[in-house]
Amino acid sequence: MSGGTDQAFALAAAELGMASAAWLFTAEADASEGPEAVQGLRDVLGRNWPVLDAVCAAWQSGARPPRVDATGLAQRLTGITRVVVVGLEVRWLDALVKALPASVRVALVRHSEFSPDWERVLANFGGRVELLELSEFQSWAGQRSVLLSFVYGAGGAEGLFALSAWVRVSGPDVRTQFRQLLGWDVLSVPLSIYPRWLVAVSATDFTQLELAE
Amino acid sequence: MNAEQLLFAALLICVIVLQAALPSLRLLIVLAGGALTCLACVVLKVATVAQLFADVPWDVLVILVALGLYAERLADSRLFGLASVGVTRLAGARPVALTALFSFGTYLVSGVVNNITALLVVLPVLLSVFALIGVTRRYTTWTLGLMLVACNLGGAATPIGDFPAVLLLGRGTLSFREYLAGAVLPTFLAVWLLIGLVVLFVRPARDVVSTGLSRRLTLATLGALYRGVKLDWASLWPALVAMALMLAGWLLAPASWGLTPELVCWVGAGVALLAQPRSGERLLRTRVDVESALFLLALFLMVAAVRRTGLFTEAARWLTSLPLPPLAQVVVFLVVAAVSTGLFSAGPSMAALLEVADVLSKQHPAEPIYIGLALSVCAGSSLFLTAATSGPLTQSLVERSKLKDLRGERVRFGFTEFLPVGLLGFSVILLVNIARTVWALSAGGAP
Repeated sequence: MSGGTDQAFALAAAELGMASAAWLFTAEADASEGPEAVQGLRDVLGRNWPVLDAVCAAWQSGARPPRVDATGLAQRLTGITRVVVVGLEVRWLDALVKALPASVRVALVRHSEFSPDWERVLANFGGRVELLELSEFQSWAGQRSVLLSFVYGAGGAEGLFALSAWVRVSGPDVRTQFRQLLGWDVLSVPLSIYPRWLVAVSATDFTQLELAE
Repeated sequence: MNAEQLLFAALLICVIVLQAALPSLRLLIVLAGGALTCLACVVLKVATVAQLFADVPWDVLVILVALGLYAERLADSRLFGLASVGVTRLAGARPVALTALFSFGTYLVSGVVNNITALLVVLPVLLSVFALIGVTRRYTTWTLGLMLVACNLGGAATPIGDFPAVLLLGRGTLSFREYLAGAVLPTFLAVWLLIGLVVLFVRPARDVVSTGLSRRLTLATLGALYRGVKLDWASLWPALVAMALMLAGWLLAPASWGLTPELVCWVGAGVALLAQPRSGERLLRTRVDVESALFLLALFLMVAAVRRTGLFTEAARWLTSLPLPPLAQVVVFLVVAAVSTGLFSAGPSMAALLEVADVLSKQHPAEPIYIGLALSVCAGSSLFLTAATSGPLTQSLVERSKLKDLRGERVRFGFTEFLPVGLLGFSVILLVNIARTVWALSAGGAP
């Protein structure tokens, strides 16, 4: 494992999302050099990247990348015209954008702990996703708008976590401005290290939680 | 040298030195210098303002603006970004192969689009690859440095790649075909000579740890970063059609038709923009390289004033009266052109030295002299990081990327880091140029 792997994972986490990047790195490590490489990944990067650590641990226990099907979620969003997404997890966002009708506008709040190339992030969605500044996200509020955040660890005993962007956009006033505040769990495996980069949130912050597979 | 020659030459040199020393005020300094030159011309009755403006090669400015817009349209198609991903896959994310392929790729791209656009579309991909494979400072410096030199060589390879060649095309000194036939081979040789020297002797990749896993992770992550990025055919096909039309106009249209290079370029860029009117209008309003156009306009005015004092003619006379054989005089000219470009940048050097080249071309076959000048300017542009605008751009892109080396320290790519690459690039290009020019002149014309 080279010393540059941390930077490589940081780039992947910035533009793919921590869970998406973690599954990708773990699968590639296993395919390349087997279980030792997964353990090596965990040893080198796990402390800095708790989501990766959790995914590696789950992989070692036999878990594999979750199948993401957003059809059910898209059906539950019938009648919605705008979705504001907080945070980035491309495995899930790709599936959602694919499942939503073309008439539904999707925006991504431009806020990240890392430094993604937003232009490249957006180029992957073929014009379906727009960027929204943090200061402007309320301009998308309305009766037919949903505020969606990716959350981590909804199924575990350690609590629920989200990106810090969620804390910046959520609040009692925002709750009344959107039809739903939706949390979408993207990490169905337990976190064993306190999740750096994430903040603890309450399930009651959301009007609905979409659990991971 | 009389008082007028001294005054205008000093003014020109002061402005060039000052703008290099204070790059944040570059445009203001050059425009002020242009205005001061015009004022001095009027007061000293050297020329009227109308005469100075009549001396400005507007056709060159038209070509630069039109090609800049064309390059934006081509970049919008994501062709180069996706090609860069393809090159990384082709290289298998191996550091040595990345150095060689990206350098040659930059050479090819900058032959069609200007250097700034070429780097803006290629570097984001490459810097991401660097972050993914984990690189050393030395590797970064030599790879990016080599790419910058390759960029200059690509720009000099075609008549539309960079300003010096555009100037030759615009003023009708050489036809599109003549320039292309004369410049492609020496630039191609120089770029591969450089790549070979760096890869075999400098060996910048020797400290980069490249394992099967790191290469696999790099390729898989890069694939994921570009998983949904598609070629924008709506932008690409008009750009390709426009390029085909322009090439046909430049290469095939007889001179009697009056289809001058700038007119061909203007119409071609117009076709590319009109095909998508909304984005075409947006490009026109927001992406015209006003900075370069104003910079060159002011520069041309200052050079025109110096020309009217007769200084360039005297310089040419001095050169041709040197107690040296004619071939040696040409070599001195090529070396002076390269060094002065390194010090003063391509614009002023090319504009000023063209006058000298005009005199030399009366004593020798014209094509080797002008192509020799363009290649010397290319060598000089590669000497220092500050000699061409693409250098500072690369520096700022590297800083913005926050790239770290294997020890976790931020990678710097500045003047001193580039210097060894610049010296090697300068020497190789200049030597290839001198050899090619001497050979061509000895043979009595173009090789």
